[in-house]
Amino acid sequence: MKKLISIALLTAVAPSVNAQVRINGFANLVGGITSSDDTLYDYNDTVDFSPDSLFAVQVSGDVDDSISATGQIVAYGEDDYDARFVWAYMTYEATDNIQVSAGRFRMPLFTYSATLDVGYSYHWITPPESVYDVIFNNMDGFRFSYNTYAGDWEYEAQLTAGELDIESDLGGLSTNFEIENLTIVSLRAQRDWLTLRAVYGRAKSTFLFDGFEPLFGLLTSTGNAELAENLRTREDSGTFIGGGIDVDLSNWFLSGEYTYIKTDDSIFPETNSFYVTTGVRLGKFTPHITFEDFEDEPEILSAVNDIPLGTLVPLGPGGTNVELRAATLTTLGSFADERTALSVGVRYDWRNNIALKLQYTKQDDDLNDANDANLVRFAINYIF
Amino acid sequence: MHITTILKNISATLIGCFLTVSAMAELIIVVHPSNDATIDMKSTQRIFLGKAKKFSNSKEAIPINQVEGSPTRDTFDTTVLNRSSNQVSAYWSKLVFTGKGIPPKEVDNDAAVIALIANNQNAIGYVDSSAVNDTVKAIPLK
Repeated sequence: MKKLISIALLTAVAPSVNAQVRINGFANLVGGITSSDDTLYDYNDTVDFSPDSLFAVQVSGDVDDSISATGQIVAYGEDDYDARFVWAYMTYEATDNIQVSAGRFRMPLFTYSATLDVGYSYHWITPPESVYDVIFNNMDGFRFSYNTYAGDWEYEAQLTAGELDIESDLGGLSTNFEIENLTIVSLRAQRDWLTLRAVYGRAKSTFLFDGFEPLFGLLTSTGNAELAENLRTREDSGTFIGGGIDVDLSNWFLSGEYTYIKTDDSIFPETNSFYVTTGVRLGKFTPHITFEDFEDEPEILSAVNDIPLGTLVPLGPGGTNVELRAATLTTLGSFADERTALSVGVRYDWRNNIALKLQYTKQDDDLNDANDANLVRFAINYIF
Repeated sequence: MHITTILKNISATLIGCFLTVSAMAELIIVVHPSNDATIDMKSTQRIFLGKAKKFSNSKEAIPINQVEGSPTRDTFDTTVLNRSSNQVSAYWSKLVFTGKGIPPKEVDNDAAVIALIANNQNAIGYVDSSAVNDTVKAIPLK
């Protein structure tokens, strides 16, 4: 009985010993409107608040001296503010320099990846879409971080490994996107006002989209099975390369990021994108300007052009191999995309934890003038 | 009195006040008298930005900040951290929301800093030189 009482006392006392649960929150209220009849980043020519607004709560606590737990619950406007856990991981501080995290966390692809949702942490309303608009952001797995410094330089090396499996909506058809054997290595060096960053990632991607299957089926049935499998994204190797430079002096900053994405033997194009941004800090005001460039170049075009016209059988009434080749080229060609955008904006630090922002973006589509658009957005970003 | 003379007098007074304030505001780092660690600009910066969690003597370091808006805090942010208070706050938001760090505890004024430091061997803070007394060890930053 005495033992039971001690156990009861222990259980009653134990949680409070380390019960340092911290709750922090952040929120973005963003509204935007485009020029008439245009759409850009899910905005149109009537004021809309849902594409970029969100409300989030982060809960963290110490499990013991070296282990902490972090969870982030975010309600995105685009999901009708349905709250969900986007992060849930534990971190073990193995030494002063080494941290190991396990769970679901943000993929460390870009400079602002970690605080992508925290509008307060950067000068834009959203980081440049040309670089940051990828369909997946969070992953499940392990992250090893090593931090050190030598002289005036601070260094951080991260190795991230894991996988992700998400539902994606493409052209109204829901599709599963699977990324396996994901490995990302990122390095960061910082000295006073200069930060350099490099990242390299590899993964196996599977993206079986029903919308493409009729075409692949036709190709297969006309003796082009190899080409069809080449186009199909099934356990294909993907590569991600990124680099960033950031010059941050007290009164002004200049930074840029470049990314390259390619999935071998798949219908997906090769992506090259970059942005350059600069701004001046004038007291509470930070006016800034950003140029961004995005290019998607279809792959495998030459293999499609190699479909031997002479030896193929007609596809049946009203369909020939010439049309098949044209249809394949059209599908691949639909991935071609060349856009630039110029944004000017201002951030105003209204309170220590509240920023007000206004930003104008003009997009130029080099391949299709119909996608040219102007967008004005305003935002209230706060942390609490 | 002519209006420009009045304005001149006012601005002269204002400048006078400003000069007096800045001359007085000499920042001093304070630690517990038993703290034998080497503390300089660089190590103070690292501790207050959450980059270092220990002193040079490997003992745990607990930074004590002053509340946003206090003159000592402004001086500390601009001269030691080389950032405006808003930039410091944006810096911490990045660490907090990536689970990488917790900002230093904040207290109201110099007296509160001194009181905390005097009772905690691991604490480090900063105050205006005029607030220093013999319950703490004062370290001027060059």
